Amino acid sequence: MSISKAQSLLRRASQTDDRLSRHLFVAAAIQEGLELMAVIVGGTAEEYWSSDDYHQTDLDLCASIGPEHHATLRTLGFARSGRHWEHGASGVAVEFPESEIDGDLSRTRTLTVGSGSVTIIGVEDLYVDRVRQATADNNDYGRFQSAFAIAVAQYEWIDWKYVQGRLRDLLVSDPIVGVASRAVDSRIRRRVRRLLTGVPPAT
Amino acid sequence: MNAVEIGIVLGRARRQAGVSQGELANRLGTSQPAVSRAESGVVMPGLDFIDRWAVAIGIPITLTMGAGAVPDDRDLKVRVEQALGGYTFDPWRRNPSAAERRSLQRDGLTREHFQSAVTAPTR
Repeated sequence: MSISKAQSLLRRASQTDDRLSRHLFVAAAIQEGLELMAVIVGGTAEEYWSSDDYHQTDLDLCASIGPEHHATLRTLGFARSGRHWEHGASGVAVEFPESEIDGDLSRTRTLTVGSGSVTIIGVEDLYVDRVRQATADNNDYGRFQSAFAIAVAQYEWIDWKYVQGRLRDLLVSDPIVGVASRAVDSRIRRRVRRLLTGVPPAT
Repeated sequence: MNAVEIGIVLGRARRQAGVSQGELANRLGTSQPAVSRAESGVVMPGLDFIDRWAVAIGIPITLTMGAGAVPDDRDLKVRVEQALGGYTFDPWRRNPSAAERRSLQRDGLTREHFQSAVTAPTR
C-alpha cells in the first residue's frame, strides 16, 4: 500500500483553495492508499463534466469498501461521521454510496491528479442518472438543471445512442420512471439544440 | 467533427437563413424528418448533401475538420452559465449532514451565502 503517496496527495488537498481540485486530490489519495478503484460520482462528477460551480456537499465514491479498509482510512486521517468519512485537514466529507457504478466502467475517465489518478463516471451514465433523478423527488427543478447543465456542456461529445439505449432499458425495468425519463431527456436535448443553433429563448 | 457537431452547424445555418425544416426539405427533395435527423446528428451527412444544403439555404457553410479539441473549461463554463440563466444550486436545500455542513462552511458556502444568490424553487 502506498500510504506515504496517499498522505502526500492529502497534503496537497489541504493546501488547495479550489473545492473541486481538493475533492480530486482526496479521491486520488483514497485510490492510492486503499489500492482499489474508487469511481467519482455525484456532485463532484457533475462539476467536472459540466464545468459549472455545483457546490457539491461531499465526495461520492463508488468503491468496494469493507471493514478491512477502515484502519487505513483512519491512518490517513479520516474519521467516521454518520455515513461520511471526514478528512479534517482538507475538510472533505467522503461517502461510499455503492460498491459499483450504475453504468459502463469502460466509459469512465481517468485523470492524473498530482502524483496519483482519479476515475470519474462517464458523462453518459452521469447524465442518465441526473435525468432519472429529475423524474423523482417530486420533479425537482434542481435535478433537471443538473442534467441540463451536463448536456449543455457536453452535447457534441455525448454518445447519444448509448444514452437512448440506457433509457430504453429503463422503460423495461421501470416503465413509469422510464417514460418520464425519456420525456425529460427529450426536453433537455431540444432545449440544448435550440441554444447551440442560436434560437432565442422563449419569452 | 462528429455528426452532432455537423448537425449543429447545419441547424445554425438554416436558422440564420430563416428557412424552416419543412421548406428546406422541399428544396432538397427530401422529407422534414430527414432534415431533422441531419440536424440532430443521428446520421452523418455526406459532403454532397451538405453542399446541396448550403445551396438550398443560400448561405455558405464552413466546416473545420481536425480542430479536434473540446472547448476549454472557461468556454464551457460560460456556455453553461448562460444556459442556466443565473440559476445557482443551493446545497443547503438538500439538508446536508453535519460533516457536509462543516465542509461547506470551511469554504464559506454558508446558508447565508446562497440566500443572496438567485436560486430556483424545487417545483
